[in-house]
Amino acid sequence: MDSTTDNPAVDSFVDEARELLEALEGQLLDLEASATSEQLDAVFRILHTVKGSGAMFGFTVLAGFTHHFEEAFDHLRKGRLSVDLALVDLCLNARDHMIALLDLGGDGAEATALAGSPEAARILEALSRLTGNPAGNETAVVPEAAGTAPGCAALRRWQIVFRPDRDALRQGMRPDLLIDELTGLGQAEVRLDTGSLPLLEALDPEECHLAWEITLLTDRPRADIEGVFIFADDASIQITQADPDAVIPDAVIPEASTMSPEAGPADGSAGLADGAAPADHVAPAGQAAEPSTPGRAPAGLVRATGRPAESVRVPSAKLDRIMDQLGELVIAQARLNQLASEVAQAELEAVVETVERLVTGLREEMLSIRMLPIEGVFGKFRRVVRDLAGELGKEVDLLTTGGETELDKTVLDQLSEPLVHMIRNAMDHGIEPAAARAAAGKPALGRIRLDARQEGGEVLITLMDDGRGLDLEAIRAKGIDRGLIAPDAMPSEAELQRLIFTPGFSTAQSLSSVSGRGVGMDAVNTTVEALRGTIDVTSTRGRGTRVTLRLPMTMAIMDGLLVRLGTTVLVIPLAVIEECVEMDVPEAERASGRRTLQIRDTLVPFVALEEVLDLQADAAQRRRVVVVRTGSGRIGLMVDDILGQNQTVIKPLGAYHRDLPGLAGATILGDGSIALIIDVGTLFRSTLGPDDVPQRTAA
Amino acid sequence: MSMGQPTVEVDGLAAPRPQGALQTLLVFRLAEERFALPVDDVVEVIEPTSATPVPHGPPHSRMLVNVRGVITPLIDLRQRLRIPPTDGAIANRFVVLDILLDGTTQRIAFAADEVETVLEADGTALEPMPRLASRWPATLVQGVCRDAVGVIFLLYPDRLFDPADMAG
Repeated sequence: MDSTTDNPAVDSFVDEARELLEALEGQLLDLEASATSEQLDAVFRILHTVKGSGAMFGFTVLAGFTHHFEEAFDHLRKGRLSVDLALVDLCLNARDHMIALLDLGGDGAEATALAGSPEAARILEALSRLTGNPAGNETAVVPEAAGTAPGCAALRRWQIVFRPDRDALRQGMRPDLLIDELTGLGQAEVRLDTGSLPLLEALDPEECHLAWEITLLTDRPRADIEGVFIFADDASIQITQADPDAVIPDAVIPEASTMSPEAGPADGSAGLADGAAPADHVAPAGQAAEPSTPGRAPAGLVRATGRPAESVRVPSAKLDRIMDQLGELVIAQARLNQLASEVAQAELEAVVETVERLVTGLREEMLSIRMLPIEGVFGKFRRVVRDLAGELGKEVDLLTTGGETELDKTVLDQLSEPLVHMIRNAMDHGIEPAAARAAAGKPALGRIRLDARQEGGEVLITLMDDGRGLDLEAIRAKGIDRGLIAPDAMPSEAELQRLIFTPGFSTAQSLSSVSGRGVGMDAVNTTVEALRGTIDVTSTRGRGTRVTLRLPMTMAIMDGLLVRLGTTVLVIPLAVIEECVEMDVPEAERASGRRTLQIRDTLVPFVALEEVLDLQADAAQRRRVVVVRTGSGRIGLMVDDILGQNQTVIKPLGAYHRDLPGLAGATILGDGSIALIIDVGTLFRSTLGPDDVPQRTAA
Repeated sequence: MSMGQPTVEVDGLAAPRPQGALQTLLVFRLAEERFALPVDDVVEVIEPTSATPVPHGPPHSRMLVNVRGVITPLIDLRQRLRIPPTDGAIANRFVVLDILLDGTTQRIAFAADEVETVLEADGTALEPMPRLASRWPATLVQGVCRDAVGVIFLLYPDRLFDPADMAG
């Protein structure tokens, strides 16, 4: 994805193909449960599009491979094969291979090598086995062709005028491959129109002045013909159905796909003769170029193809820039509000109110553009679970709910990896082997449930399994072994459970390929903290484990609590704050050796924030403590004062301050001053070791 | 976001850029010494504004300032040039520059005791820095030029503001 070419047309193909193939994965997995003809058609369309446009944009190895895949799938679509587990496996592997070919960025030594790899050969062989012994007689089979309009299975004659735009060749369009693909749909007569060619001295060899007129006899629906031109956005394309009444019965003509794909005018005519089609149903080449006369083709059928303008593709960097500007606007707005309230002039205030309303609306609109349903990420996990279940020899069912919950694209992009870690952990460590499950009186089928829902400005993602739960004794032993807890310590269940997020911590007895390298949960924790989220784990022995991620809906704007230390104002993300308490300093001093604060029946450790950050504070007698959740438990941050809540536009720190621990960025306040945003996760990673953040439950 | 930040007029700042070996320099003072940087990178010269300390910020950039809505690190040139901080001088101006760091433009600012002028210097008239006489890190000084007032040390902006160089 990062390997962009300097050709926007190719980039756009790669982007679209990737999206299609990502969708394909989910669709293939769906087939396992049910395979309606609509579903099969949808898969077929994807394969067909990737094949056609791949060839067009210099991905001929990909197109070649896809051709075999498509052909095999066509048998499935026509009901000659039935879907089973092995077949879905094969299709998934073939799809992965297509992604790999796509990632190589087009034809080349690498693509050829990959196409020649044993893995590729294995897939191709399996595919050809599928096509090699199709059941029944080809011509006798009437395609079910659901999803296509009734009657489309019969042959129809289409007249197509294809005139690429002048820049088409420069943008990498290959009209020859396109025409090849079109003629592959059925029997075709192709005529080249050189009428617009300029004189030789005026000819720019890189410009395209040619047009093609094609008469196509095919049983495919119009959408398939349009599909050929799917990436030829700027070309002028007319597709007209000739003689709508003259439907040629399917049985008379051999199936289109059996025709030679190189069907030129001569081949096409020969094919027609073989097929005993009435000769007058195919217009001679000259006539084919003419627009259909009224009465022969219904009006309105002539139209340029191309995507309907329902959505616009925008590079996400552009959205980021707009978001930045909007951030500036929000800051300027805060400043304007402050000035207006100082001036106290009614007319000005009215305008300021209007501007504020507009800015708020604009911000919400902009944020919603960046929001994507979490479903896109969830879809990938079905594959993970399926593959892993096979590898581990466990039966596991993944149930996802709340896929429609929306998250900012930035958050979503980084979420998939930690969730995969979590699912792997649940399957490897959580779900027991079938025998153990039976012994425990559980059904053999392990269940993992992934749920997402919105709660205020946060999204909660919960992963639950009905496995064996965390083995707290093993965790305790490991913790002592690693020196993370004292041998005589009596850590609470919650404390032990949190240990699994410690770097390098793993209780797995043996390393499997799946997990047990002890990087998993630590990596999850790091990513979640970087996203300004928190993670919680609860587990019941023998019953299962539940991991909950809390994530902000967006990264660009957040709710923060403004706190003061001396003259410095800081922002603490509201998402990590549990509560705020007041305290007298003498109490802090009494507790000096071990600074803990009693909140109801728990003792919470706290630090003086000015000491952690090396800043000046008033250090008055009465101070405030903000209790926050961190990766290693709750901790209090003592500050001079709490100034209030505010919506904060987060600005990243520049090259000079990027890697400073404890800082997530900065923001500009209404009065124009700068406030730094505290990153609770890294704040304590840098200043305190795990031993320094004790958490005791009062007896 | 221009409140409290009027751009300070510097003589000749708007002068067109000359051709050839001539270089247009912004001359400023730090601790009674005169330094210069190419004017091309300079965005504006502003009056000092309140700065926000960066917890655990590196010695060369401990502060952030808000320059027209952009959060801008304030680079400590005294620290860079090893000029003792306690000579009683007060920064009268912030010089704001756009520099290129890893392919992206980063806005930075530094405090100067005074911004004197903009002058055109003939590149060929640039004298090398006398090695032994160098009070400043030699790698940061391109050379010495002179005007009617006296000596000016021309600095390398790339090295002066390079975060890697600062850390090392």
